Amino acid sequence: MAEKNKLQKNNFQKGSGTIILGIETSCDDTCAAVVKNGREILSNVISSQNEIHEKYGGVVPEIASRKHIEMIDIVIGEALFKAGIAPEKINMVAVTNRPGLLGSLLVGVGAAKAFSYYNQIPLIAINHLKAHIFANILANNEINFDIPDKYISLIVSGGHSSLYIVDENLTIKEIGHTVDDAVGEAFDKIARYLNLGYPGGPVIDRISKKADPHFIEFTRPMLESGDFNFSFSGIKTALIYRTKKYPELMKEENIPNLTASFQAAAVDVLIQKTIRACVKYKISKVLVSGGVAANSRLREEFMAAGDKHKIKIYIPPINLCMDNAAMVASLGYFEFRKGHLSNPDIDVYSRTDF
Amino acid sequence: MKLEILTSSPEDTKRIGRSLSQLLSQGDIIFFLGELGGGKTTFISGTAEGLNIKGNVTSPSFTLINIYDFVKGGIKTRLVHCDLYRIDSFKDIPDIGIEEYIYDTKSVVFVEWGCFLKEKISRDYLEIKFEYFFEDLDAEDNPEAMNQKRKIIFSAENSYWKQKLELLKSMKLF
Repeated sequence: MAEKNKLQKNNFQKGSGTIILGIETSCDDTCAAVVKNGREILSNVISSQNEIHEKYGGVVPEIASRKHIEMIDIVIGEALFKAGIAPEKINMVAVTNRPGLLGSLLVGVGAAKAFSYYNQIPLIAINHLKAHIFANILANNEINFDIPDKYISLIVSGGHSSLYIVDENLTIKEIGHTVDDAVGEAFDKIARYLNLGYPGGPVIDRISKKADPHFIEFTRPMLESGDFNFSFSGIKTALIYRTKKYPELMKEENIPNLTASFQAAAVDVLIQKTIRACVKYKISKVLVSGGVAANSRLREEFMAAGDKHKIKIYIPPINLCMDNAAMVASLGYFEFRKGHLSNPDIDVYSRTDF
Repeated sequence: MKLEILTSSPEDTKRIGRSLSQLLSQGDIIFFLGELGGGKTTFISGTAEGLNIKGNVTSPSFTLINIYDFVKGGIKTRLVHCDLYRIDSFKDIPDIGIEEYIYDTKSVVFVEWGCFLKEKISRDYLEIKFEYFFEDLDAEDNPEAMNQKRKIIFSAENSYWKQKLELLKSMKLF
């Protein structure tokens, strides 16, 4: 009886809004956040493992999950502290349970289950990719899923490069995906090939800024494929092939021009296909998200293309493009409002369909 | 023993991979060497198709290991596809938690970039190396078409794989 009363008290706090704890451990960042009513970020804590994985030029799954175990309690505690919210004032826990590295996901989901059970509050299992889309909601009040509407959504990261249609019921339909490397993965591989370090995206972004994006006009793979799929392996191969055939391209002064040309080709394909999807499905709003959405050229070119085609482009601020738990908590709120609660025995999944 | 095959497109490379799938059995381990973009993943996706593995086979450069189930000759087995591109030395192997997969003799194991491992593992292995093919110099003006050509070199030092390579040689590949 006492437990039941507690549950009711927590779920129906009149006037104070719904406060959700979000937990995200799908890859190498340990994240927790407290978000009010799906839109107001009270805290957003991220413990990055970049330094640990740098040695390997990328995430090592086994090491990532061990680090999550060390950090998860600290990060959740920090998120509550920064938000100024006592654990018993949390109304719900939202946690990423798919897709991602299984060992990493398990740590976050384990913590979320414990928190929800101890405080007798509901648990909501969150799709990581869908949460990336919702980073846009946190960043922009214009986006309103209470009214019928459709959006084209592009998710670009180290693990994904896909196009979706999203509607007000939070239904997500995939219309295209990469057939080989994710765009972020191609950035990492090029960076490593050119000895630029890890992670590749930010380095290439930085050194390409003052360089010539037309130094080499690389192939734009699958631009005319007639579907909304992508291929980034081809651009990577074209770059490597050139440098093998013309070794002088590897001289230090040419490297920024090479990366700028590569980046231009990758960004160009992403934008053109997104715009074409808008035209085909007669949708005039685009939600861009994922780690590669932090790329400065992608952001600028997308905005320019949006202006040209009269399409409204939404891209979250850079801190919300990266993996974070605020987006998880936000989506949790909207899933809850649609009645999508989870059982306490949720599992984790490395891949997923929506 | 060495077997060299020239391919002129990713489709050709995939076709060779498909042919190899017919020769595979549980416990086989193959090392894939060669440059980034050399065609390793393309080749392996062909092999996976030949093994009736459903869905897209992509490079495990992010997860280090992808595992696919398949049935061959009525026996349930799996393809373990590792990419050790980011791993530089043998001493890192226990740390990254992939030992149990690499030494799994009930699976077919494909290792990309595992040069350091090849020397340490006491198993009969096949090595497949992918090279860009530059000989055709008139293609100077059309690097996009040129960058499709590859030389695939199969090498085996043990009788088990030598026999299999003889079989591959006798197959109609294109």
